Amino acid sequence: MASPLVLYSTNSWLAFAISERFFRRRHWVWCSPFFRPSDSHAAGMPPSAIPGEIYDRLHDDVNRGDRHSGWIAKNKTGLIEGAECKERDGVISATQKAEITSVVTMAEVRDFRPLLYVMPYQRVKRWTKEVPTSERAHPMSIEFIIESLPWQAFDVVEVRRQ
Amino acid sequence: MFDSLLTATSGDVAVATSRALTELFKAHSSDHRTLSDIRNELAHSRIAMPEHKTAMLLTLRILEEIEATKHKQLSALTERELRQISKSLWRILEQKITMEPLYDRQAGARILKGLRTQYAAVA
Repeated sequence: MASPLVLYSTNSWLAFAISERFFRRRHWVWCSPFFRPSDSHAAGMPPSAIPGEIYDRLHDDVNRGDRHSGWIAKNKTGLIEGAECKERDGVISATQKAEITSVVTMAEVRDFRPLLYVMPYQRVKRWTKEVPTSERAHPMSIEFIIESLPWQAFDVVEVRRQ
Repeated sequence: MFDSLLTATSGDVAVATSRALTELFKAHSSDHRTLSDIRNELAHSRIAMPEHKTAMLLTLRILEEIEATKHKQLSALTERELRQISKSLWRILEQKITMEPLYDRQAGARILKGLRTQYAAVA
């Protein structure tokens, strides 16, 4: 496959705000070269690997005020897992980890509204890692991880207003 | 349900519940993905730290328990069942967290309010 032009990633507002405040404005992102893949690419990609699908699911659950949304629960547990890793890596202190977990447990549904990150591939490619096949949502899907994406390297878009 | 989480540390529970939910979402969107696929992938993944290994074993326990209690493969879970499981796992994690010495609801609420103000117009 030729180098992608752009990478897309969907994250919650809370994930954005926590990374800005606690992780020195560096963001952990799982991204894809497709916002919504064309038919030929879509066959290999389940919804959990498609930024556009993740966006829609989070958007719908937030709009409905769904307090038991599986997508929001997954986001919450992922944020706390992320705080665990950052503490282990020495990026944050134990107190800061506790602050993040407190923030996540106090958060309301609206705090999980989706944001779309748009990254020019040439600008971020030095930080990208291809997701190993075993960790992809589907073996044929194309997914990248950027573990420490600086805020200057991407644009944030809210596709649909609440 | 999920008795294996009761005696684990909140750090392990956080990692395990997060991974388990990710695996459930993956299985839910792929008819072909089975618990033994997940077991094989975890067995062959590079786990460098002992605490990761504990969390991975917990992840497997969670998934095995779901299959055993629902009497069906993970990929056959309905949206409703997935919601119930997400809710249960989140509750357990929340209970674990609130028992931690540094946990402070008031501090969390205060910081959250500050974040909402500071990043209100992010997009």
